[in-house]
Amino acid sequence: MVVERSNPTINAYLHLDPEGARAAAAEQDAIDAARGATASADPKRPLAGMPICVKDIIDVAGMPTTAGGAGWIRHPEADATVVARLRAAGAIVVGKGNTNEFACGIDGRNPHQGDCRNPHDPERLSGGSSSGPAAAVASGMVQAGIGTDTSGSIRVPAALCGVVGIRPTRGLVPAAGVVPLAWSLDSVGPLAADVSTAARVLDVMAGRERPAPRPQVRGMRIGLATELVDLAEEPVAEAIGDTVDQLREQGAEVVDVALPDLARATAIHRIVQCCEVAGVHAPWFAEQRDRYAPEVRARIEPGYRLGSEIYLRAQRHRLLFTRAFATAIRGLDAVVAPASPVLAPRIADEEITVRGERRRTRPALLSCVAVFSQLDGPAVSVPIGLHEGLPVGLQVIGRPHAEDVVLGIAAAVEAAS
Amino acid sequence: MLDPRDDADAQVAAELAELEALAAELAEDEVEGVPPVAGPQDWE
Repeated sequence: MVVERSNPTINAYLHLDPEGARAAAAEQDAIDAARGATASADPKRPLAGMPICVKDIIDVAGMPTTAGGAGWIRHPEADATVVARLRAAGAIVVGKGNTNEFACGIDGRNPHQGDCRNPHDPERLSGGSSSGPAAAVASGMVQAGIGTDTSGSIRVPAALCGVVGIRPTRGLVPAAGVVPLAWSLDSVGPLAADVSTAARVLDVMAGRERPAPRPQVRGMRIGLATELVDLAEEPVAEAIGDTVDQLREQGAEVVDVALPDLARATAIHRIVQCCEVAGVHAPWFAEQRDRYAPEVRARIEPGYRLGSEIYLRAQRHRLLFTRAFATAIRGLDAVVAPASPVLAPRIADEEITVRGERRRTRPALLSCVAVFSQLDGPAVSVPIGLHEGLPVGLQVIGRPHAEDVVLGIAAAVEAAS
Repeated sequence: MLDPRDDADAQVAAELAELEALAAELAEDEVEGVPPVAGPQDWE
């Protein structure tokens, strides 16, 4: 079993359910037998027999939800809506994936449950907070992971682990049965080894049917977020440049695009998230505050002091940023940017060097993703190669409900890589 | 060795100070009349 071999090193799972997985597989075998050996794929079970890893902030009936915390736990009697849809489509839940504490982090580290480690190099960060699902896919333990993305928690681990991760249009996938991080930013989405599988899983999660993404960019006009490419270390920037060349060879027009004030966008994002996460944790925070890791407590507690006036002012500025972004990309089908400006950093390093400058790891990992999380549209991270054995991810950002466009671009990138 | 609770208090204070400084940059007069809820309609 790949799980038994890999998980002790990678720590992708916080809870495994081998008996439940075996029972679900046996049930699938019985369904297959009843349908006959020559039957075509069952349209009612498009994910028949697909093993999946579900981030441990998402309820799975019969398994504990710990949110990666020190003592917080609930025992759900019902599946989260997305899990119910996935199981009805034939997916098999292998277990609950590791996560930063309460999804509050971007690096995949967890002082309570143990860090999730990068399958490409276990001494390096997996990225987070959907660390377990990303690492489980990258190490071949499952075909798909189910994660959440508030600031970049699907796209960053996807980039660092070398898998595809989709942050869908906010609201496309229901969040019922998911422990929130920040209500107005959270988006539930899939991770998988390739674009086609990720898209198929997304469609089930969203309760819709769509044709498979076509790797087609001819005639498209795509913006390159040069300001974010300039933040990236050389191997990442070079890989992005090579990918842009490939998109042009496939018939896309790629033009530089200047995005609205990104520093201000990051400020807005931090304030909104902090105030909302404080609201989420309010029912238990006072009693539990000393059980949080210090860096997580520091992401939550200031929200009780900032107050509603500052929160609402940040949300108003967020709307102005959305309008300015929409104006900036007028005439473009999508925008591309790095998903992470750096290759997976070493777990032991609190700081990293990018283009000769020392930077704290957390803000560096957030620097190319958090700005887009304030928008309502989809963003995908797709692998574009390896540098010295470590993956590089390209981010494709689109307008709300433009999943077909961004996944088509991602499929074209994948086909050329 | 710093007591973990003191370390946490220090981190909370530092984060709060940073966020308050960032909030001060978000001018009130720039958002007069702007609703605090965005959506797909704001892309039109």
